[in-house]
Amino acid sequence: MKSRFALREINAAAAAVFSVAAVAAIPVTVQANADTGRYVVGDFHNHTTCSDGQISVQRLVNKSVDTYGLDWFAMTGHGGSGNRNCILADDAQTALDSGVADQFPFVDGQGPQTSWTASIGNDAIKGDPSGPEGNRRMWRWQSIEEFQYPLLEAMSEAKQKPLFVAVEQVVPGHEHNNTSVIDGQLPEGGGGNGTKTAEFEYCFDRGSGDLSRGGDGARFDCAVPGSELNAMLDTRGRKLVGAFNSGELGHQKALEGVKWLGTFHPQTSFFVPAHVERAGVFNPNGNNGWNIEHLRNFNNAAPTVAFGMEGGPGHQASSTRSYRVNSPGGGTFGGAGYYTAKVGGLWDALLGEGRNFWIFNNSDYHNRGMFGPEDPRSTNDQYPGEFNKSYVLARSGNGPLTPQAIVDGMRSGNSYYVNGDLIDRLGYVVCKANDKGQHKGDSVGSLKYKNEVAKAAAAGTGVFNDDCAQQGEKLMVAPGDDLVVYMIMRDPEGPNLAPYTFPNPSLQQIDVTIPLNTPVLDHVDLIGGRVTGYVSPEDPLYAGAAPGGLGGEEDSPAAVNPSTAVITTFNADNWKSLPGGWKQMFYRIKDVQESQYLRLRGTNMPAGVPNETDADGNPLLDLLADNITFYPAEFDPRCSDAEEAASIINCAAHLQAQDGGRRLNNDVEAWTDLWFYSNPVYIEVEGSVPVEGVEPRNNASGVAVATR
Amino acid sequence: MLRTSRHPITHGLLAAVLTVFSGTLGAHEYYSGRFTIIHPWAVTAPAGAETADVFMKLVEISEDDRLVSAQSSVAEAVELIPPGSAPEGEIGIPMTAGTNLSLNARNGHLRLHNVRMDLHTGNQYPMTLVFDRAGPVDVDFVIEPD
Repeated sequence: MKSRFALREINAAAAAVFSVAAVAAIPVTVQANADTGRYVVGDFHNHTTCSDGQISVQRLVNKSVDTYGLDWFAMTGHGGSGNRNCILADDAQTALDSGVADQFPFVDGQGPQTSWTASIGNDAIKGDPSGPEGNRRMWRWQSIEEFQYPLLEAMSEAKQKPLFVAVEQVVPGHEHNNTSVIDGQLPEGGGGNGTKTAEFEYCFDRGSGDLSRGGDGARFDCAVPGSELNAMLDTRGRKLVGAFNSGELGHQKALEGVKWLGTFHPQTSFFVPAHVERAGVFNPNGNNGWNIEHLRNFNNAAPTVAFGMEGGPGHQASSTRSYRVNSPGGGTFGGAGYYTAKVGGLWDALLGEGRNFWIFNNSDYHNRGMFGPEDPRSTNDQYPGEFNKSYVLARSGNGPLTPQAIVDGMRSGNSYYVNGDLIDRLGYVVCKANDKGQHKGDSVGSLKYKNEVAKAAAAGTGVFNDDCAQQGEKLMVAPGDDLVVYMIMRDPEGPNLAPYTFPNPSLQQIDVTIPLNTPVLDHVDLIGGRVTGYVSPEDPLYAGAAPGGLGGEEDSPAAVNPSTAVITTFNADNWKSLPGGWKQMFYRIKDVQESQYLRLRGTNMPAGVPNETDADGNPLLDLLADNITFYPAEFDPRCSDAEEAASIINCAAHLQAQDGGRRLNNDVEAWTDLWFYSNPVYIEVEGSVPVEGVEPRNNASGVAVATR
Repeated sequence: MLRTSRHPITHGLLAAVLTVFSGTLGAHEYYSGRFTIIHPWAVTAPAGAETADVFMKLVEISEDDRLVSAQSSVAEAVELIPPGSAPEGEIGIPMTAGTNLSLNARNGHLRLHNVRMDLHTGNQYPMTLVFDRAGPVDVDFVIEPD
């Protein structure tokens, strides 16, 4: 599995597919003026010692884009304040590898654990003083603006990759959210700034107790034009404070933040809530999670900004694979949160409205748990690009990849996420069949666009054809039309980044022996649901929690889509295997009458694997993997010796002993059970319910924009 | 669009002083449904250390409860050190609805006995906290520089 520097593999990959698909004989109908874009891999949720991470900015970036080959990287870190200087390199080699050691040299005796007080002195720390004199805290807005951004800009130049600054907002009334405002960042010619991201953090992070308005008492202003809440702004800080940092009022402040982004930065920012199930359902008197009405509120308020959520949380190597038992659904399911993993659940309810609401995954990297930063094992996090990967279609023409192209790609919904390099290429479009009346029987019929889609997938680009729609787009069709779903993906050959070579413990339960580091795609589900239109805020079905059985409470009818189902499943019996690990599959939808959406998920787990999947192939609660015991000593006798085993990675001696072997947990569990999720393709049938959240694709501009 | 930065950073020339990360709102949290646990932490300790203290905050406590015990695979035992003001014989550390509680030397905290492995700065290690009403809650405590 060749997961690094994927963009450099395009030619070889294309050759592999073309050799069997004879694409050259088929005319390709991509419009000359369409920018087909390219899928680029990135991460926008991670941490350094500026918040509660373990390492410096330099080390995290080096790992993310050099070691793990990400195409782009947005550094977050919690809002609020911090007392450590995260731009002090961990060591001389880290500084050297950063490419900017001349500007940001290693300082002997200092590192990312060194305090701001000890490294730059209290006089340089701005805003209202926070923390004791000997260990003063720096407000996040200042570290973003004056320290994190300049370093990222310099490293962008050195590494020739877009590295920009974001923030993991500590959201009033809720938990966390990932936001970047890219205005000012990485401009051509240099001299950019992260000021607008800093201002957003100052204004709308509940951890920011600073009222200095950017240090000088005048720079930052948190008013939202026309808002009634402007009268409630603190007179000195020009922001909502006090009771607006919790519960219902907190949500109102969070909503003001989204409106602020939508007003001032409608095309240059994103608001993507993080690990949305982790803190439980919404708490009107505290700061916990999100219900569907909150996500609807955000999307209604600023659809070009609040266009998605983290469907796949980070911390995948933690003992609970991210969530604990008191999150909706009781934890994660195949690494996905309950809102995403449940077929017909909260995400499907949003898609069933026809909203532009997409899912992503991220690393949420803090540290490797009980291991150091260089150890391949982890009991907490994997690096950006090591396990969780979000692929986003970015269109930057013939120019370099820019933050704007990335944010546009995120907004477009043309993206998918993957665990553990289960796949590394995906072509997924729905096209008009164009052979209605000529098509007979149960065959798929004409596959007019087969090779066009295969070629695009091999090249890692999008597909632009007026008869087809991609993820995040809608296909406009007439009642009675037939459609063909084209799907092709690559299960890369060779090992992924897992450090373990023993057989996959979960698959061993069903007598299947596959090394853990060479996962094999088992099947792909095509999932669909009806679109029934936006729910009005006045409708009783607008609001309701989805606790997933937590506390004995079932999901509100507001947060489900009963029409959603697995339409069909593809596996080795009915997909076409092509050289190079490619799997190609098709599905015909006959006589379409209702507006709907279609999305994909795939996994290396067959249906009915004990403690992993149910009989229908749905992922089970990840905590159940604790029931699985595996025996590394069967494959390496040295693992029988406790002292020796501790130094042998393949012995997985960090996992809890259980029944004479090891309990399947932490990073080993994550590498065991891999999934990918696409975003939806919408189909709008003339005379049926309009898909209001998505515009028909415009080939000329190459951007589908939600303007409802 | 990518070019040389014009933002050299001037590092302070103060003596190298490592500092304890002071946990902040929103960072390193655990949710029980009845309260939120903020940033459990300890300082570096070598394998074989007789004791190592663990601290944290408990905030947004919505119901009375009591921390009654804890376990961790990195130590032979975990002892609950009661608040200095605790009546003799009181079990565990009480938590009162509507309050926040900092577990520290004054309010009570946890103490690892006979540490089994080196506790390195920046790493984090598992611990299960057991509450009278909320039951067991798994957390990880982060190691900070001494």
